[in-house]
Amino acid sequence: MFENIAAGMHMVLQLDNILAALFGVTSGIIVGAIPGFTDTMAMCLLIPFTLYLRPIAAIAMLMGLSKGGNFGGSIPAILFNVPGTPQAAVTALDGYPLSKQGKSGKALKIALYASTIADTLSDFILFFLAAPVAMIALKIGPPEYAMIILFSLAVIGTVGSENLLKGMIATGFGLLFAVVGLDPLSAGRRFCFGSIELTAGFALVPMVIGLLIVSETFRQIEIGIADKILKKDILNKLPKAVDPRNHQVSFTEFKNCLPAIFGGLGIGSAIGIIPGIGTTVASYLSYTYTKKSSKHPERFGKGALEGVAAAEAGNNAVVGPNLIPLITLGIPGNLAAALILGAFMIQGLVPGPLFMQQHAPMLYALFTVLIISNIFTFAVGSIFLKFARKLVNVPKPILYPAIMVFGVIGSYVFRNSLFDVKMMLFLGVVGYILTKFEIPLPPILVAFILGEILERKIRQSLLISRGSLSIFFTRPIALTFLILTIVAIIMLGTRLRRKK
Amino acid sequence: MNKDQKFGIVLLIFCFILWFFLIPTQISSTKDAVYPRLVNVWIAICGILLILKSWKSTEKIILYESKDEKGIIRVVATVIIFLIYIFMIDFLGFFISSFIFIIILMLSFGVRQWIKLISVPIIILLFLYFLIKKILFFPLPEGIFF
Repeated sequence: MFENIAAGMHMVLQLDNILAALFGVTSGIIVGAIPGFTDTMAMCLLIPFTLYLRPIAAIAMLMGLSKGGNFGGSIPAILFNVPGTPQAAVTALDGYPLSKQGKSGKALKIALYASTIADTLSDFILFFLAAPVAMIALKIGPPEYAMIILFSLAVIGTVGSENLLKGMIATGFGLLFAVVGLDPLSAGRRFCFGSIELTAGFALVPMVIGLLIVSETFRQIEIGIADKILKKDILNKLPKAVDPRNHQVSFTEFKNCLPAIFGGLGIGSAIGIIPGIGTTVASYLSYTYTKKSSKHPERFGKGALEGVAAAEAGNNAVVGPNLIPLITLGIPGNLAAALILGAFMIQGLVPGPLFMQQHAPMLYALFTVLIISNIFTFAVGSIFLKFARKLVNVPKPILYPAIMVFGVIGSYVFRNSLFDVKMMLFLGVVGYILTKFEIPLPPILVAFILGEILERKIRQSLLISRGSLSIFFTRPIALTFLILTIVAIIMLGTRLRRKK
Repeated sequence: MNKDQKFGIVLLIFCFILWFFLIPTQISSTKDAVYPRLVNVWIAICGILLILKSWKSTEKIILYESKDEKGIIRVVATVIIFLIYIFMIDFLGFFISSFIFIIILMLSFGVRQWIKLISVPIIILLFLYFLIKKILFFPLPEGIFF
């Protein structure tokens, strides 16, 4: 084990990796701070370029982006009540009232501290748990594997949407998109419509850029410039802190926030390990837990520093443990992890049970990358807080055309083909039409990325059982996950109904 | 008929076409078609449930709100412009066609100040030019000029 750790460190501590992580973190914070441009969108745009980097540098850049974006999203949430990323909406609950009291500096700083502390500690969970989980993962066969994927798809589909059925339809579409191309076992052509380019299937890059970025741009064009949320007068309305103490977090305040941070850490990590639930739920649960266990629950929502700390700790603690199912099973915990899985696959690395055996140093390299990214998040974040106000106001008419052109380049350079650019446009239109019917797009992508492996495992299982479906019910682990899938769908489905 | 029912019916028609026309013509062996058919059934079941569920709910959801119409026309126009743009890349090269494309996109976002319309695409493309041609050395589609 120790030689693996040393080898991992050696792989990471090279200039290009560190620069990649720094670039990822910085652009993540910037992008997260711009409302309407999420960290996952930025990841989609960067993925094609990672093809030209070495594996560790590629992953370092994307992980840094994800971490930086996670923190960056809280900046506009605190300053203007406009979450830069979906998970930051919970941060705004207490962060914005603090800003209105002229304590924005304090809120931003506690958000930064809570993010980095929870993030760093949660990475250690990855460090200690990945190897044992991988040992167990090595023992499972195709039917178990298929059921675990099904379980995570069910969770991703139901958590990510307002309507259970629509989430499931989205998952179905994703699986259908994954079918296009050569058959994984017999290599027969499927849905190629005579096109040579389609025999390789839908490429990942046009898929993610089309569905997430082009469709979003279309939506913004439809809305037009009617919604100028951040008009200049709102920006100027915020009271400036007269008292310099309002810009600092005192030691007592920090100490009072520690229970919230550790609560968030526990909840976030636990949620991170389960595939599919993701950051938004974690920050929400962490916030409500801290509020319930607080001595002064009435202060929450009116500017409680603990509220900001809990929300940020909760969503950042997800990132590290989220990689456990990714590395050991090859199953992404959320969209960001799915995109990282995509980047792994582009590099020719397939995360999964065998990954730990074949690339053990890689895991420790990844871990080191995560810690380095955290240090960068803290450093860049501290400097960046001073300029954050300006960036939040990037006008959409400039932002979206730039993103579109960048998306075109991304789709093109990936395989040097204009076909992929056309594919991107096609998928953008499909995504736009689907959002008109409130079909969530992230489950489509996750299902698309997992589709091929799910199909392979199901068909392998059916080969073992000579075509009998009973193989999924008669093996204990497979059955457990099948039951868990059904329970998850029912539970999450009723929760959604109650929410309505 | 509400939005969900309409969507459910479109979905079922799609599943029908998939089952009876697309899968038989596009997948040669029946063995290979088992898994796609499973996915097909999955979508169809969800579609049927969606129709049934929205039948029960009495709330009326109108498919297209009238105020959206202008926005949708803008989107359709953008898609057409995008298509033309992709074909233009082959002919004019990436940079010139992108220059025109960004201006048109900004116009559709409602930007009317001509200083912005000229300067923004120039800044974006200069940045991309140096990033891609001078730092990353990626090949980009070239046209008749450069």
